[in-house]
Amino acid sequence: MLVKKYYLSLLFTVGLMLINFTCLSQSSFLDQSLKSGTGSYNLSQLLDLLRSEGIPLAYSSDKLPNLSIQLNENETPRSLLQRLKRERIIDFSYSGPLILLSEYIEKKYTINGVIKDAGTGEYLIGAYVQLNQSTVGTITNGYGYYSLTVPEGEYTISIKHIGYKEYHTTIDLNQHTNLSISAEPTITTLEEVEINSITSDINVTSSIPSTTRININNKEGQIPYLLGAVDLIQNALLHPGISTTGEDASGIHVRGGRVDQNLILLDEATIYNPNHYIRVSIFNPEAVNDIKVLKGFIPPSYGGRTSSVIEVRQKEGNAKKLSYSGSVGPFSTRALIEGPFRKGKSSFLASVRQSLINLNINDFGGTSVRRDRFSFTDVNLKVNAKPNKYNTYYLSGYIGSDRNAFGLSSKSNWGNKMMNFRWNHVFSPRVFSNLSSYVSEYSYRNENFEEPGAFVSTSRIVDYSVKADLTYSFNPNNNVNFGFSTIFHRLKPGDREPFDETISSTNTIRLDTEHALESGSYLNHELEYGNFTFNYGLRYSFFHNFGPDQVRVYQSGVPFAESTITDTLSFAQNEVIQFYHHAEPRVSINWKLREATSLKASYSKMVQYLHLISNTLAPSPTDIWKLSDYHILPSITHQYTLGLYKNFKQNMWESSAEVYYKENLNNIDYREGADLIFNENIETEIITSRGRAYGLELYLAKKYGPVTGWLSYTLSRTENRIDPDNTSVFIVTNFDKPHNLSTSWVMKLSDRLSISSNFTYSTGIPLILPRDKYIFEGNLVPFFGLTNLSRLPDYHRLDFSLTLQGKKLRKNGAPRKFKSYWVFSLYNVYNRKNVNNYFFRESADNSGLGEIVQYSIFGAIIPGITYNFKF
Amino acid sequence: MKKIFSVVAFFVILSCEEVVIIDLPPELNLLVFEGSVSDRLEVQSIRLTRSNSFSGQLNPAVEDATVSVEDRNGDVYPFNHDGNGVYLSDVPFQGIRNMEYRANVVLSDGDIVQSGWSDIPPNTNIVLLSVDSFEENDPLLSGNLTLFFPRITARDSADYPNYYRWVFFKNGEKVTDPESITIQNDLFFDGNFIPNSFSQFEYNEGEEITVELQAINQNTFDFLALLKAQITTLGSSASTTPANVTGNLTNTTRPSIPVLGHFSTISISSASAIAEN
Repeated sequence: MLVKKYYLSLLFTVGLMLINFTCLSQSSFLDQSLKSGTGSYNLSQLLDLLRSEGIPLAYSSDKLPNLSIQLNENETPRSLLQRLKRERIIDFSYSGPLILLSEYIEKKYTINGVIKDAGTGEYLIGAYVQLNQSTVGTITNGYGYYSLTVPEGEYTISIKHIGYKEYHTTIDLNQHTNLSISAEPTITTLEEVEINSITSDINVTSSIPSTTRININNKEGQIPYLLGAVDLIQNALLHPGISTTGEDASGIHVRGGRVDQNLILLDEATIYNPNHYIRVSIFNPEAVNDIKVLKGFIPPSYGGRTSSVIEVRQKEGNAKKLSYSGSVGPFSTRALIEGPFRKGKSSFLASVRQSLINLNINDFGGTSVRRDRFSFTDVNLKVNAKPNKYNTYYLSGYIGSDRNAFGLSSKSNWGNKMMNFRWNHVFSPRVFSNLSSYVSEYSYRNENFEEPGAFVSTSRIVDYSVKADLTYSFNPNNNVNFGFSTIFHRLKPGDREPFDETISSTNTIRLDTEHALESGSYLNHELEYGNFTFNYGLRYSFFHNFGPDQVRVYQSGVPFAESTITDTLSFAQNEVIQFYHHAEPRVSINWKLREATSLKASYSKMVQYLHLISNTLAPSPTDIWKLSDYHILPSITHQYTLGLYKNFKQNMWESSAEVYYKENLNNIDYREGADLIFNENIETEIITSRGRAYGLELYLAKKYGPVTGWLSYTLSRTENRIDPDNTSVFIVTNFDKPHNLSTSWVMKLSDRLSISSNFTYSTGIPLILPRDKYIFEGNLVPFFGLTNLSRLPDYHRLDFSLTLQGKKLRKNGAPRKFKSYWVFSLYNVYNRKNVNNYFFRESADNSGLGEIVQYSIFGAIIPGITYNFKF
Repeated sequence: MKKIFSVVAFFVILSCEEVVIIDLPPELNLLVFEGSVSDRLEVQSIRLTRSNSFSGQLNPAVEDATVSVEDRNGDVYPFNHDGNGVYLSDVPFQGIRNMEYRANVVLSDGDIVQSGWSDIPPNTNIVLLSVDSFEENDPLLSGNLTLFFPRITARDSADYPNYYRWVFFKNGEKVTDPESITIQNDLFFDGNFIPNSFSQFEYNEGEEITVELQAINQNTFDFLALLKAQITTLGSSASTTPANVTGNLTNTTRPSIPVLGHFSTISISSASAIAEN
């Protein structure tokens, strides 16, 4: 009936129009003032009036809202219709001479683009794109890309990013719009810092809890460490939940996780050993942009490690002009060149870092010909091309090399190599995709050239990976991303060959190469509903371990040992030896309690199919990786978190309190006296254990103002038990540190001078004290009894640094092209002799008597001076 | 160059060590057994002591035990106390290749301690001992000094899994520091010349170098490997977890009480030379 009425009305209107107006052009009558008097009309009344004045309108009156409309003086039919459209009352379109009216249906359009640094063209990761100063907004992804789909209308778009001036622009959104913005870095003068560095409340609004992000370009990112060296991993250690066992120990523990349970990514490629000697990370601060540590909720797009994701991105290279920067300090010297190939379209970056002093901290100034000598080099490369707004291509690479010489007779080289190609494609403003493929290798090589046993031993792990991710944005509050990844792992655990075939007496030993395919696909949905944001998804991981390989079968019910081997199974090339698969659900809920306050809860299940075989307190560069296989199960972690996030004073202060509980299954541990070197049956040395970790993390940070910094405190416990029958008790792990407090502050004193200071305190790590001693063949041997759990004395340290900027202006007032600054640093300011460990040894003065000697790696105040430049 | 290093070293005096006193739990006083039977015809020796508190006095000797070694044929070799816990076989005897031996100790409280059976491994001959040298910067005086070290030629036997231990003597005195425990597994050189990188055993000109190449059993190798790890790496970040170095001895009367130390059966080959060019 309704339909019939509609057609009748339409026919009637068309008829009228044909009779009366075929000879009139639209422009003439649409722009003439209406004859009807001003006043308030009902909408259908008003349209009837227009029709009576000869305007060829076609509409169905029952589709129009029943509203009262004010007709203004001198209003023309065109301005009236436009106003009605703007006020979202009706929509209109032209069809020949006819004007078709319809009810207003809200249209949505997408704004997308990239946010860049105005000076260098570098893409800004994690910049906040906000609409109308409201809670509607998004952050740029790892490629500086953002996408927002919102109803049409007029919007104020604000870009906020730490270290950049806040940017505002107004757009009338009536079509899909590409809006790429160049943000101006804040000029670091006292006044402007105060005014411009307004930070976002992303820490409160983000649906991903427990994230630590450090931007190397910030004041906080530039805090110097030992000998004035800036180091992202050292900086991360000052944040909650991230710790290490000792001052010389490489490897970090995140929320009670083990050192091999962190997924360390450099431009999305896995890095297997993130450290040089004395705990210096391989990430050259000159060449990297930022570090992000995900330690609680791990989004489903990540997988393969159970504890955390540590994501580091290299800079992209100045897209606008050729520039050079570098630094010289006692620790290392760095140089970087970057610039455009084609301005705004493609750019490159190349950087080198070389250690200067002998990094053997016990003997770095020694002169003996038999002294150990350690040094390293890093080379970073990156090229990107952006031929159009839909496509960006990246090629990045890294080569690290550590060279250690031990005395006269042996040396070792080790390092990571990585090359990665990525393609970002914007299918449509709402659909962003990233395709990434990389090759990553970690290898070491030992050479012993003393005849006749001279040998070369090598070990290597190589990953070949392809990964595709797609993000679809329904609207700013509703995003889906999904993708898959696959990694082909090839491990050569150990080859040992004669140094010189003709004279060397060494036999050639080659341990079986291991092969596996580790794949995962995931789906992730982020939805904002009222005061809640849900981020949930599923990762499904698959792991195929395949031949050729020989697998030993052991007698059941007794520990694996050479003597309990009952059979050997042979697997042909590409034959699947073992297949594991796991569903890994991940859920995070953010409940916005009020403005700048939120409560976040999350659950993540993580599975790890690759393990570092190391039975020393801290990992060593010669440790090998091992795939899960016929005998070694994947490690599994369940983590639960609950946290309260609150910002104060317009986000000047950020605070959070978070609790976590983790259950770790199938951890790898070792039997006493395990022999891990060139062992073909490593499973005979391994025992599995179960662990748990729980803690409270408190964080308070001041994000802008002349003084910025943070205070972090972690109360935690990490325990483990060897559990063939689940009856044993949990024992604290050797990296358990119940109290961990760190605080770091930077203060700007003048235009050119700033000071920074950090203080760190933590409980000493557990150790077992000897109960008895005895003499065996003239050597004093401690006997532990293994029940005397004690701890090292507490660790605390204060560092201080002063940064002096070179003059920015010439005498004639023009800005200098050459910019430089000096960093003066003091490590261990109050000369605390922090105990790194105890030695249990025979007294040098009284033969046969035991003495406990505390050893401090740094028993002095260590000054450092670094000169940095850029032009 | 040296000056630059010195200047840096002046500014940065790094690591430091300090002896500390820490409260330790009460001592356990466990029996410690040191001894072996070698393939040399000689008076064989066994030493018995007791462990005591780590920071305590010298380990007390066990002087009132009854000690003997027996072989699989049932022959018993009694040992007599010779002072300071050292027990000597009352007659010289030599371990026979492939014969198994074990040690028996009867303590004054009646407890019986026994080792596992252990056989004498095949002897590996030192073919040649030569002396090599290198120049070292004198840490005190400007100039160089010449240091000497032994190079030994010996060949591993291919038809047997072999384990070796090297023992060095300087002017007849055994070098005993923890780092000097030198053991090898023929996994890497089966049937070939035995590697001899011994430049860490430095001798001054004119000193007498004596080297013993001992063929040992796998359980002795494992025991010494763990012992060395425990007395050389503990405390550094490269350290293994503290473990109790358990040997092959058991208190058969009260098995819950650990017995420390190890009883080994070894074959010895030795050579001497003077440190000179």
